[in-house]
Amino acid sequence: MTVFKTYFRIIKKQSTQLSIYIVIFLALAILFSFIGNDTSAETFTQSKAKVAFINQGQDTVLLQGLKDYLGEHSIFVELGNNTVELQDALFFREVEYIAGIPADFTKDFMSGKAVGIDKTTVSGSISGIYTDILVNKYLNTARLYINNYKGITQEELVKQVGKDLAVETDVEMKVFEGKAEDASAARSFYNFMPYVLINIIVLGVSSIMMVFNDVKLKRRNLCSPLSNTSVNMQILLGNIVFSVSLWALLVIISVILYRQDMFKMNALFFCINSLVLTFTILSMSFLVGILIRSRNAQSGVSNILSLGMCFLTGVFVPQEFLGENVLSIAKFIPTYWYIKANKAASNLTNFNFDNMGPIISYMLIELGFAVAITSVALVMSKRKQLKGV
Amino acid sequence: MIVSVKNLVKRYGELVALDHLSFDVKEGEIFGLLGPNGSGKTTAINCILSLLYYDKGEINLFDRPMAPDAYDIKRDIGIIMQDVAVFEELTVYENIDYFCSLYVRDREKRRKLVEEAIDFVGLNDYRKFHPKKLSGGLLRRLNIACGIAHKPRLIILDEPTVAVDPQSRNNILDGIKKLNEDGATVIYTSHYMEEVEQLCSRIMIMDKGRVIAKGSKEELKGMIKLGEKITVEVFGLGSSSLSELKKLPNISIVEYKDKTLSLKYNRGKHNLTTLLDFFRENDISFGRVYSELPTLNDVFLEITGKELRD
Repeated sequence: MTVFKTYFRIIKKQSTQLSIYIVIFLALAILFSFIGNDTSAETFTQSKAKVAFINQGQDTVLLQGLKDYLGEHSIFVELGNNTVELQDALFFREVEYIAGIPADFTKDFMSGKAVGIDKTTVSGSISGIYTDILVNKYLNTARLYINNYKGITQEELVKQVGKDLAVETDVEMKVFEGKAEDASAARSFYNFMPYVLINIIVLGVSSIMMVFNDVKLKRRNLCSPLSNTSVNMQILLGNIVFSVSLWALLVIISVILYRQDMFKMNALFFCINSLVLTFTILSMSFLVGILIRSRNAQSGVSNILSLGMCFLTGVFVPQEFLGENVLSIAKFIPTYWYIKANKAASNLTNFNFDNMGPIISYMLIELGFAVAITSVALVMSKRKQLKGV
Repeated sequence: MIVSVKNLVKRYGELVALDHLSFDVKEGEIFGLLGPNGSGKTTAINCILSLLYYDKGEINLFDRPMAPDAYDIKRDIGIIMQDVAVFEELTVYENIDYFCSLYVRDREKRRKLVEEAIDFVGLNDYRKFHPKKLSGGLLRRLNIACGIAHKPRLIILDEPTVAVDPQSRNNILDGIKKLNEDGATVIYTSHYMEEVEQLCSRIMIMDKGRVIAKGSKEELKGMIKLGEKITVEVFGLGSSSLSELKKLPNISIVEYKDKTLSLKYNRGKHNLTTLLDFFRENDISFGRVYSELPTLNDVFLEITGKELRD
């Protein structure tokens, strides 16, 4: 196993360069796990909007009732009745909703006239919309009593409306059974994994291939009692051990970082999918090692491959955000199918064959790429061998 | 016979690189393959090592036919290629250990052999150095250590001293002599005639893929008419004296240019004495006198009509 041992001696000499990629990847993975982890909606808390109440007329029982009701769901902010001051308050988000009450609002409202309050909100503010709903709900309920109880007093009206609106519905968050299996943090980690796999495997494997494909060393090895087949088999074994070890290291890291996610069934598919992709990347690296001749080119090629493949196929940017043309091209790149398989595995709730079928298909496509690229690499290798030695 | 090559023919399209090449190498000798660049020396070596397919002929090593899968034969061969073939990523020690391990599996035995090889080429102070940090001469020595560490019976050195400084060259040549004294048979290819002349017990001169002469250096020099070359610094020589000179015994060529008189003699005795007597009798004053025996270059020149280093 001379060649096999030498393989790892050479890899060891490059460990600094290779470990840089692992460190970068780990930093990114940890960062994204903190950013992207809180996506589930399993709790509900009512939020309170900041509201300014500007009354142009006299304080009345009805308005006090409305104010009390809004006060239960909002925080009142005291503002002067000055247009510039109100606009500034909205702009700086000191207030999200300004309710302007016209001078004769109570009188007109109680007499059944169609009146409304002047509202000013921050554009697109959810709190503003929510406050609007509260105001409408109060006034519509009050209108209902006025229309049906002739001569109802403001005190009686406020009392009845208050009683009606005091009825609350408990909110209970229900999740689908399958959502409990969601492993979004681990999925992010595995989605980013192609970047580090491509960089490290292409650099490592192509370095070895370049060394052993060097004509001088190849001829020297051919003079020895070690057969060419044995040399090639030892290099192949080295390539597989190196790639699978890297994959195993990343899986162990994922288990340490995302312990909860990694013991779910979905995570098993992430692992299998990444192993399949590892073999596809290995075949690519084999081809790169045959084609390139210099160390400068090697680093450039690994970066172009990793960044190009990752940006085009949805590793860095979700596939949903990519254009149709980009996605059409991406279908010819194995990482596209890897990301699709990860997504399908992430959404899996029922682990029967019908549901797992698409994931298996995507993995088979990745393997198909591996077979095709290896075939091309072997043809190139043979041609080069006939030319070189 | 350690090596037996019969009627070897190698063609590259229209070009005949080896044209019915035949030679034998006996056990214990240093066999020199001498010829100008492109004469077919490396092609012959590559065919012997089964690195190249050949069109015709027969190659036997250790009395067994050589083939790409003749691993038992390869086990007894040490090869030092013209181009240094080492791993840039490995240290001196690791490189020698790698190449030795292709032949010797036993770790303890190998460790001993690697140490011996390092001592032999004098790389003890550089064992942890990477090849990039070595000078050209040291790199060549590493190349040799990688080729001989497993103590082969037959060592093939293909131009091992190309681009090497004189001191390192002498070290390498001394090392090869030592290897031979220790029992190894050596095939040494070079286009440096001085090296071959100094080192080899038998020499084969090649040109255009053919053997033009072979034998010991004395035998080779005996094949040509040239016996001696005398060069004299003469301060004044008239045309009549020059004509008289040409009548001296054994003289074949006389040239006088820039106060330097060059004379080439056919085989014969007392040429220098006769010449000095002639100067005295004719009152010709002269300065420094050089006398040289014919070299392998003269052999090559006389047989092919061109210089070995053309």
